[in-house]
Amino acid sequence: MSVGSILQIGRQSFRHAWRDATDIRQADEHARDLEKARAYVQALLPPPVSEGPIRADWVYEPSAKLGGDAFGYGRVSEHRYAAYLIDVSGHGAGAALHGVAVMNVLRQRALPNTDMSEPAEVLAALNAMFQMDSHAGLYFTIWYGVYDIGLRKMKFASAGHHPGYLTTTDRTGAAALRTRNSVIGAMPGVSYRAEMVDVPPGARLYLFSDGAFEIVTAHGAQWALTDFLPLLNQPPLEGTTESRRLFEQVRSISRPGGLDDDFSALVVTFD
Amino acid sequence: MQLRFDEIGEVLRVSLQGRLDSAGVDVIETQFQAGVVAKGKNTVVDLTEVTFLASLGIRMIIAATRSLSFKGAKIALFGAIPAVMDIIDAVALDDIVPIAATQADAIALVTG
Repeated sequence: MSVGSILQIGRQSFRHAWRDATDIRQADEHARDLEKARAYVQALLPPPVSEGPIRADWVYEPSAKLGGDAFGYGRVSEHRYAAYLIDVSGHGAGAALHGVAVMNVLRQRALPNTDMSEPAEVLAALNAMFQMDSHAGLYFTIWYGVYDIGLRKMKFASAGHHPGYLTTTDRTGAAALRTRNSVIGAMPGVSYRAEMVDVPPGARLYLFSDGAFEIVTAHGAQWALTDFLPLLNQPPLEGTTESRRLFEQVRSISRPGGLDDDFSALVVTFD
Repeated sequence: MQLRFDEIGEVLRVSLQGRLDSAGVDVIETQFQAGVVAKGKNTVVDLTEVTFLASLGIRMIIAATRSLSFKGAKIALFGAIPAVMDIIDAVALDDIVPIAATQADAIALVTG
């Protein structure tokens, strides 16, 4: 094989490259640094919750070593529980750094004068804090929701993000939860809209990045959100979390060589 | 992804062809910035031959919109196919950049 040529074996692609010892050493060092950075980002993600009345499982698979997806969940008050997913434009180290900055602000509830249980306020505060001009031209989309445990209602707001989906225990439907707001960081002074929905017992909230559905299939077809949605109500797989089931199904459908974009999926179940 | 510049009167028209994803933006972004932002003219962007729009393409468009705004110029997009319009609607891009159905409508938006 000539240098630069590609060998395809099944779903794996191999590129023939030529490196001297110094190149290899530098590449290995770079790969180790990226792996440390990836591990750092992953360490910021909250641990899955497999027991209790509110459970959460997730998958985080950046397309490069680092990606711009981030998510989180947890109590914001005694009776309120928040969940969110952000997707920074692009991927790689820059997007990952931006995602970490946003995630840390949310984790630490560091938005000034902001009620973290009010999604519209949270999005407005994020927009004020993360304008593109002062953040290397990066914007992000977000879905942010707050579940009131006593009232069994979810207040939510999305900014430039596709809907989150609320499914029922019998897996017969999926309610699209979205409010039409522009992306975070594009324009200052934007007002954001929020809405509220009832959460029946056993409902599951699915949040995922666009990398979950913006794939090219093995047959060369471009997927869209409508192609991905039927997967939500498919039966669970024994021994596999919902988020992992979705990831494996998307990966099996996509063309060989790995997914083109970061894949993140968060599933929260409300008993 | 390919792009082409021409002028319709005092309005700059940028015609894009192909996928405006990370690979596509890598190919054209420098030319786009040099041809659109640096000139600071009222601009219309022809999306009729754009088959896909991803986040880096959206970022390129938003950045150009902001830069032109600082120079007192306007930009509008037109001719998006339904699949691309779905993406534009999903991110509410039309809240930031005007979207028109036709070239004539887009020119009216930037010159009006």
